[in-house]
Amino acid sequence: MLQYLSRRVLSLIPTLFVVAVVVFTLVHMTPGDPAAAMLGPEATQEQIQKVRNDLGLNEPIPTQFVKWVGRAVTGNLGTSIFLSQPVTAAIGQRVEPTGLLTLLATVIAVGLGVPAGVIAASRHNQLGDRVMMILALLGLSVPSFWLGLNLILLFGVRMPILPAAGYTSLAEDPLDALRHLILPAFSLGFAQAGLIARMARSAMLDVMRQDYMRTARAKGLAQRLVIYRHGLRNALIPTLTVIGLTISTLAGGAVVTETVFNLPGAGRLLLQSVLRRDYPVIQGAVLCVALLYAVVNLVVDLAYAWIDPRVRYA
Amino acid sequence: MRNHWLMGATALALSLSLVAGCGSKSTTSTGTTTTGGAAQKGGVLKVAIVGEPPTIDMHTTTATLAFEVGWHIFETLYTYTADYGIQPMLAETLPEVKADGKIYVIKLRQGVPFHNGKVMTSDDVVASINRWNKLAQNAKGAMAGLKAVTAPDKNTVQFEFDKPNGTLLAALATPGNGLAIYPKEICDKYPDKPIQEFIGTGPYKLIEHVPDRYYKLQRFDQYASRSEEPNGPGGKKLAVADEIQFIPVPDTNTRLSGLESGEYDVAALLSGSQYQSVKNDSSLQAIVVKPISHLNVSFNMKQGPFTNKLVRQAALAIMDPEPIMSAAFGDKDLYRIDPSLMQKEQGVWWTDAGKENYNQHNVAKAKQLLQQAGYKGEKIRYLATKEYDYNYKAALVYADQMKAAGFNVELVVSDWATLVNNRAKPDAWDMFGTGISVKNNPLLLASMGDKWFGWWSNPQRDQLAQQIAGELVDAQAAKPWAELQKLYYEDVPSVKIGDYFGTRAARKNVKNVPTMGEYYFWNTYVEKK
Repeated sequence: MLQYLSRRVLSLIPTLFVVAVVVFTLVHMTPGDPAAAMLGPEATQEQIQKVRNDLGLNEPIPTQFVKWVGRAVTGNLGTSIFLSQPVTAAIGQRVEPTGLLTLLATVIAVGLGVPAGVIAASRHNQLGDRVMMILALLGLSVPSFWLGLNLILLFGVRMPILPAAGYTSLAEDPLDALRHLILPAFSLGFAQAGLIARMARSAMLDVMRQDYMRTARAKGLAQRLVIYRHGLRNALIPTLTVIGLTISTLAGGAVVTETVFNLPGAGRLLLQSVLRRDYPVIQGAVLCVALLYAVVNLVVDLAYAWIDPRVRYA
Repeated sequence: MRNHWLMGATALALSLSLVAGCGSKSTTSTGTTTTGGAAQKGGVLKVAIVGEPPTIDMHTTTATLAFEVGWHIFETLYTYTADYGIQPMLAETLPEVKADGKIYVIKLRQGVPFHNGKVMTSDDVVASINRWNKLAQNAKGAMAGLKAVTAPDKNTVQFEFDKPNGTLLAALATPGNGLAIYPKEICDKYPDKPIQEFIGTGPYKLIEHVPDRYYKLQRFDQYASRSEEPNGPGGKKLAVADEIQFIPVPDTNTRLSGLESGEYDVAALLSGSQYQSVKNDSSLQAIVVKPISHLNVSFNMKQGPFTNKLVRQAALAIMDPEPIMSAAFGDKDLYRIDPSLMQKEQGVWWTDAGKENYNQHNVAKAKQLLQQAGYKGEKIRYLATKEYDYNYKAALVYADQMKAAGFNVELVVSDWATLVNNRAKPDAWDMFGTGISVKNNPLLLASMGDKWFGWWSNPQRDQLAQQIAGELVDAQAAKPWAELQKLYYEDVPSVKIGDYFGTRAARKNVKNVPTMGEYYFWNTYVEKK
C-alpha cells in the first residue's frame, strides 16, 4: 500500500511538469499584455514597454520559464502583476469560499443524487423511476448560471430571505457565510446531483441483478436492508468516481457561479486573471487545479479499497 | 501688475466655464442627486463597482477605477467643481502665475494631517510631484519643459518652466492618473512601483483591502476639510458615512440584483435595458452620469489604406452617428450626438468648429473620395471587443455603413487585452474603437496626442497645440482649440461618433449620490428611517 502511495505521489511530478509547460506556453502565446491591463486604457506604448521591462516580460520566453519553474519548485509561484501580492497568498485568500462552496455543493449533490438514484433503481420502470430521471435530466440540462439567476430573483429579490450576492468569511460570521453560500451551492449542486443520480441508478440496477442480491432476498431480509446494506455499498464504486470528478470540477472551475453570485473564489480569480493577462496567477492557479485533480483522484482510488475489501493495491 | 491681470483673467475664465445642463432630471447644479439635507452621520455605504482596480496608486495607472476609490483616501492640489471650474483642494488658493506663465507659485493649506498623523508640508508635495512626473501619463504633456520644482518654504511649492505653460492647472486638477499627494517617505519607498501603504489626507482612510471582495474605508476623524460649500468633487467634504465599502462586482446582473435585494446601496454602470427597469422601480433611483467619454474610432496612419487622408475623409463622410450610438447605448438619455471633442458641460471649451464634416452620412461623397484616393478594396481590419458591449455593437453598425460606401471592412473581434496588444502594432490593424474620457484641457485628450494609437503627425497640429499650451486662460486657449478641432475634422486622425453617458443606480433612501462621471461618496449617505 505504502509502495503504491509513493508511486502515485512520484507520478505527480511529471504530470505537473507537463501541465506547467503547457500552461506557460499557452499563456505566453495568447495575445494581450498584463502591463496594458495594469496601466489602463489610455496608457501609451512607451509606458507599457517600461512596465514590461520592469516585470521581466521582455526577456526570452525560455528564460522566463526557467526562472518561474525554479521558483515554483520552492513553493514560490511568483507575484501577481495586477494584485501586487504573492500568487500563493492570492490563491490562499480564495480557498475558503471555493472550498466551502465545493463542500456544500457536494453535500447537496450527493444528498440529492444518491437517494434519487437508489429510489429510481428500486422502482425500475415505475412512476418513481421516471420522476427521478426527469428531475436528473433537468439538473443536467439547466445551466447552473441560469438556475443561479432565477434563485437570486426568487430568494434574493422577490422573497428576500437569502443574500443575492457577496460573501462573509467564516471568521467574521459563520452563519452569514453559510447564508451567502446556500443559493450558489444549490445552483451548482443541483446539476451535479443529476449526474450522480443517473450513475447511482445505473450502478444499482447492475448490482440488483447479481446473485447475492437474490440470495439476500431469499433468506428473508427486508427490502430496505437488501438495498442499503448489500446493494448500495456495491454500487458505490462507480458512483464514487463521479463524486470525485464532481469535487474536482467544483473546486477548480465554479467560474460562472462565482461570478453570478459575486463570490471571491478561486474560479473568479482565474477568470479575472485571464482577462487581465496576469500570467503568474493563471500559471499558479492552473497548477493548483491540476494538483487538486491528482490528489482527489488518488483519494478516490484509496476510497475504493475502503469501500470494497476485494480491491487491493500492491 | 501682469500677475494680477493673469490671476483676474484666470478667475474670470473659471467663472465662465458654466455648465450647459448637467445630468438627468434629478441632478442638481452641485453634481449630486440632492444637496445638503439632514445628513445623518453614521452607517455603512456599500458601493458595487465594476471590478477590482489594478491599484489605487493614482500616479501609476490611467484606470478610472483607481482614482474613483483612491481620491476618497488621497487628495490633489486642485480639483474641479460640478461645472468643471477649477478649485483649490490641498492648495490654499489658485496659483500665483509669474514670468508670463513660466513660473507657478502654489501656497499650500496649513495644518493638513495625513492619516498617519504627520502634517503635510511642501517636502511631501515636491516628492509627490517628482514621482508623478516620472510615472504618470497625465503628467507628460503638462510638465513638458519643466526646469525645476522647488519648495521655497514649508508651505509653498514652485514650478518653473522654460516656456509659458497653460495646461498645468488642468492637469493638477485631473484625478485620473492624477497628482495625489503622498507623504515623502512613501514616495521615497516606492519610487517606481505602485505604493503598498495607502496614507493620504482624504476624508476616508483605508482600513482593509481584500482583493475581489472589498476596499473598506473608514472616516478619518482628523480630516481637515475645506470650508466652501460642496460642489462636484470640490468644496467641503462631510464624510457622512462611517464606512464606505467599494465592492467589485463585475457582472451587471449581479450588481442590479444586489441593489434590488438591498445588498448594495449604490451600483455602478448598468446596461441600457437595466436602466429602463431601474427607472420603473419605485424603490430605486436611476441616475444618468455625465459627462463620461466620447466614442472614438482611430485610424492607423502609419500603415495601410488610412495613411491616405482621402480614405479617412471618406470614412468620416459615411459615418451616421445616430444608428451607431443607438445600437451601442440604446436609450436616448444615454448618448448625445455632438461634434465637439470637449463636452457640452465644459463651458468655454465646447466648440462646433468643423461641424460641417460631422454627421454627414453622405454615401456619394464617400464613394467619390474613395475613388479619388485610388482605394481598390484593400481589406480594412477593424478591431473590436465584446468585452465592452457598446464597443462591439458600435463596430457592427459603423462597419456596415462603411461597407455601403465600398470599404472592405473585416471586424477582428477579440477580448480587450488582445485588442490593446494589437493596437500597439502598426501592422496588426487599420481602425479600432474606444472611449476617450473627458479631460479638463483638450491637449490632455488621449486621442489628440501623437503617441496615441494611430500616431497622428501634423505640424499644424503641433503649432496649434503649442498655442493652446501657451495660453494661461481657458477662454483664450479656446480660440486655437477651435482651430485645432477644425483641423481634426479635415485631417481625420480619428472619428468622433458621439458622447456617451454612464448610468448609476441607488436605493431610494441614498442621498447626495454623485451625478458626474466620477464617484465621490464623501457627502453621500443612507437616510435613516
